[in-house]
Amino acid sequence: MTCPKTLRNGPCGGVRENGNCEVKPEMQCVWLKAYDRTIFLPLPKVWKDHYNDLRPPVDMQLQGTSSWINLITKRDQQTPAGWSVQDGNH
Amino acid sequence: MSALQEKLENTKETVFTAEFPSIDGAGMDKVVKNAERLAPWFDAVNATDNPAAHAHASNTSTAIAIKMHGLEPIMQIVCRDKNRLAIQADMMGAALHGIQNISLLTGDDVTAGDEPEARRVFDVDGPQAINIARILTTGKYLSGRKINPAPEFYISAVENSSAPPFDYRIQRALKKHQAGARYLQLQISYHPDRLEAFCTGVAKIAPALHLIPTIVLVKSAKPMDFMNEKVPGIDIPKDMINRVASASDQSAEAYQLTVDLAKHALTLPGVRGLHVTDFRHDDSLASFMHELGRKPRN
Repeated sequence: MTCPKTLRNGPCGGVRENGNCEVKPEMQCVWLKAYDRTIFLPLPKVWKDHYNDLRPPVDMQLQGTSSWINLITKRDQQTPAGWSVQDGNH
Repeated sequence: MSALQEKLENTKETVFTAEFPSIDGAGMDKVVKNAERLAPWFDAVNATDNPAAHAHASNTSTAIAIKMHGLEPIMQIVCRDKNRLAIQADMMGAALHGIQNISLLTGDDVTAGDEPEARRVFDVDGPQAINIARILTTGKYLSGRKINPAPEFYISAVENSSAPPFDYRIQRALKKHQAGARYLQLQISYHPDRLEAFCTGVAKIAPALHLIPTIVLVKSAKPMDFMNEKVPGIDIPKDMINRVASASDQSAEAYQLTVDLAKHALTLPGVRGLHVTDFRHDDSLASFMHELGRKPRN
């Protein structure tokens, strides 16, 4: 993840007119690059649709640990107990 | 239920919101002055959270001050300066003071402000913060810890209709809606074509999501140049800046441009009102509101 704002849910509102990053004007927005790839790469639609998923907040306890081991053990899929509750009175 | 929620959800009336000026040294006198100026025209006003990455009186304290003076606040919470604990504390602090309208934003980066050396937080992002607000309304913190009774919020967010990738912005509006946002205030747009494509697209895939585009009242081409150069995500076409810059009366031309943009925005699908940011600070606000068909409240 090279988004300077460490965002996990797509491009922020600060993307420049030329498609570059708000924070690093010389760099293309990484979320814009990923979005373009969902359009032109020949991937299954179900993979492409992942772009629109609401991804949970990052678990900072995993900083510095192996992402491969966390993937295999599914440790990286754990979310706080409240994250997946539905509805509410909003 | 907040009065804003009542109006947006249970009527077809046009809603007007405004940006409440940031409070620095002038204290409650400035709050009172601005509340008196804005109250006749607006259903609710935004209590901002360190806008453009500049420190000011806090979002919660400003929202409380606005409420004390008879206006309904929309309290913004920005992800740049606070981690998930502080964001939930802001939300519960709002609930403690009976503030129900909360708006969740990712926020400009610290580099947009006057303290670019600050640590940026972004522990969560805008869509995640919206979901956290919704979770609180189920009677739980993010951790799962119970809140009894659950706070009542009317949740909103902000989206930029006119920043790349343009066609994706519609999908992003849906994402925020599904996370819990009931309406979106839209970033200032000087691209009526992009705004129209966005609103048309959103109205198709998220018909229950209310849209409130932003209109900025300026007096000359200079602030347009500033926004174009300095504000992240805002692009103003050169011919639009030139239209104002080359006019014999810049103030009148800037006013007319704003009226044109506002009237166009109000015709678009899904649009339920306008958000007004007044940088003119003169008596043109009243005539502007009259032109849009708004009558002052007593």
